[in-house]
Amino acid sequence: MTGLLSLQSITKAYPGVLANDAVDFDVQPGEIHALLGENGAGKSTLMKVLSGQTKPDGGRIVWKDDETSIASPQASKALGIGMVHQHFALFDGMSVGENVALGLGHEFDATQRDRIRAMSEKYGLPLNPDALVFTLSAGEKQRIEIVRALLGDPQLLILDEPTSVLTPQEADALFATLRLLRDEGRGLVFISHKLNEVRALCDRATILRGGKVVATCVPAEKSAEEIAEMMIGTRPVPTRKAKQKIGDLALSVSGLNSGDVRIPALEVRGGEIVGVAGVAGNGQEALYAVLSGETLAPDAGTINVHGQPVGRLGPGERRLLGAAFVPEERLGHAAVPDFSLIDNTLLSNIQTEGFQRRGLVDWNRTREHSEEICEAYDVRHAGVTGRASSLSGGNLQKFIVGRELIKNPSVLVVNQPTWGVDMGSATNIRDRLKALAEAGSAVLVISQDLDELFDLADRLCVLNHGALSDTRPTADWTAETLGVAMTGDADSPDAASQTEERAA
Amino acid sequence: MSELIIQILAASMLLATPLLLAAIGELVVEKSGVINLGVEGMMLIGGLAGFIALYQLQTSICTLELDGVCFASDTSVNQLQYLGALVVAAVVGAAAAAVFGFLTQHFRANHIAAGLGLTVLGAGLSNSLGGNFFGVDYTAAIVAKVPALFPESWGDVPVLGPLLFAQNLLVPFSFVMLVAVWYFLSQTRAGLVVRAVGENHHSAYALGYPVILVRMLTIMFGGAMAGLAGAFIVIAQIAPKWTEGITVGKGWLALALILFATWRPGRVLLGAYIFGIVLALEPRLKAIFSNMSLELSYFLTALPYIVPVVVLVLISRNPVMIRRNAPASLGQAFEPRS
Repeated sequence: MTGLLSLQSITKAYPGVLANDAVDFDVQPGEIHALLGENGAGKSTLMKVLSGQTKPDGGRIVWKDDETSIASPQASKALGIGMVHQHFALFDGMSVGENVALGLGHEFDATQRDRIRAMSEKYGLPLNPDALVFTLSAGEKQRIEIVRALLGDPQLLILDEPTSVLTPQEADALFATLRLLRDEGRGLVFISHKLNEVRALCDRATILRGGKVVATCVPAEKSAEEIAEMMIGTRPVPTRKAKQKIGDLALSVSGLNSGDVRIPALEVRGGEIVGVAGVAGNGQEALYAVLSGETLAPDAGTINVHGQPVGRLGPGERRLLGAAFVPEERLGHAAVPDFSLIDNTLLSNIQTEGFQRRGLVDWNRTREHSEEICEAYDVRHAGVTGRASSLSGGNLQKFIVGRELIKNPSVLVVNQPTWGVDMGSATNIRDRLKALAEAGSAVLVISQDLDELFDLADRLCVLNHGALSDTRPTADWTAETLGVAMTGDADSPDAASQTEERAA
Repeated sequence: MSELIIQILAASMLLATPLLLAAIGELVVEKSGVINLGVEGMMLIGGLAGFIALYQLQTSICTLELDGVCFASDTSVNQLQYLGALVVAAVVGAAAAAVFGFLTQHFRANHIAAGLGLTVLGAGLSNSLGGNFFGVDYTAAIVAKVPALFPESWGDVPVLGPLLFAQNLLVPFSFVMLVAVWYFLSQTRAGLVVRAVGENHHSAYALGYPVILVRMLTIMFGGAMAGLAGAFIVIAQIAPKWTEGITVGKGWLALALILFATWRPGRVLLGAYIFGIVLALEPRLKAIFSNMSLELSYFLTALPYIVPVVVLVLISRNPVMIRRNAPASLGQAFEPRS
């Protein structure tokens, strides 16, 4: 007996990356099995294999002692696998009952409503079949997804980061439900970043790193630090040569609370690179937006560039003070996909450089500048009149970073500078950022890539649940402290104080 | 007095029915997330097709024949021939809609541009084909009047006579379709799927529903209903007669009605009939108050277009109901995510 489900040696490669490398994973009836790992560790790929969204290149799937294959989402459902997605597939303008009926393929009638009520009462998932989805909270919406999955009577239920959108109270209620399901003999897969939750809830944990299983353990027997170290690995912290000169305070933030992001204190001086670590979805977008001026801070004085309050200034006015910004999303945020490189050059320069002559755009000057950027930053392109979307990810990233760097900004804020970029381009971009700092500029790098942060940053802080921690020299951080700070449950006072103690 | 009310109601049926037919069809289209601004064009094409079909189908009887040569003839139309013409109008309307559907669903063309194109195409095509294109100048062609649904004597029955027995087949049909569409959308599983596709096409696709097929079907249903609405105006509203641009903006009015009725069938009915009643009142009021000022008389002419909008806006202000009934994916091209 191999249990309910056994995945043996599952391998799946995407161009340029081995997402799953001979992964073994099994679930027994009546257990909650956690699947842990950083972004890109291969959790989603493994779940896509289970839900029939993708086919593995190799390996065996054994379901209740029989080898099987899962060719489609329908086949997965027919086997008895239920899936609760992180991003709900719901119809906001329709009622709870209608949403459930659409997911099940049954006629929605009176008996169905009774079934929804019975199911929701039995598992402590209170739902009113007649309520309209857009009036519900995230927790209630998740209950719809869970009830929809449960009405198919699955023997294996997969929950993909189910607590990421829940309040602590809602999460507690969810855990009671999950324990009830486990005690009925169902198998559950619980995917999460939050180690405290996993330690409290799960019977076993499998930890993925770089597409491989690095450990299987009983999470309650391990400390959060030990699990974090398994997730992140012990990294050799590269010794950086001490900076000759750290300059004046260039970018400072204090007492900022915009609702989405809270920054008690952050200071970046000329000549240094400060890194912001954090798991995706913890407020990186909001942090970038408030620093760049895309969203304005509540008070002007909470953000200062070279001592000038800029909290109420927009991105263009902040650029005039010597600041530059590179957002995460290459296509659609940093660059207009259907515009040429020339047009895209103009868009971020219209206020800072002399690209206008007598109120008209100086296209010759813009074209020359575009070509200079491409030349200086090694952007391989088929002509600056080509569309931005025709460039490869790495080349477009070099272009949007170069577009800002060529102006020698005294303050640079960059979000995920090498996300989804090939190795060569990533190294190139990192070298340019280091060179900028060495030339005396203040650089703030927001990244989910810890290797990148250890490589680049002189000092590091952590963004967790929208709150930015204290900044400490990179050498003072270890994989464990960083892991705990990144994955700790900042909403529970316990974990928050623990994190602070360690940070202190 | 009660006789006057019945007169006005009977007249308002003639005026409201084409609006109601076109709006019911387009309502289903929009509930599936597609906005087809080509209603006016489909009405013209469908109306002309119905007229041509009726002209070809009608029975000709020679009334003056000398030596085997007919010098004068009379024509007549029976219900079966009329039905045939209606089927042609619906099929041609659906075919015109299919062109729009192919452009927007297969090639993911912009709904607004494709719909406006269909309106222009419908106006131009019906003008050309209704001229002398087929060797008959349909603007001068004579077609016999369609007989009422029931024996003529039944028309004298109080109330039911003028309101039902003397009316054209399409008048009761529009009510049947209204109830059928309401039932389909709110009570059947297929209707639930149509609404789901219009609410969130990505979720619907993820759950395994054929978004593009559903939308093609609703688009063609909308086209068929617009074709019937056009045929009613051309053939049944007064006497059969083809004139260029005969629909005079009724397709646009139908589109506006759906919006102001916030996609609720009952309110579309209400809006169409307020329009019909106020329009039917206008000549009668003008006859009674024959010495009214010119300004007031102009205002009365505009009233049918103002009152339904004001009433519908006033009764449809509940934001929750609007969110409930408005299709959230309306007008967005659907492209499956890989």
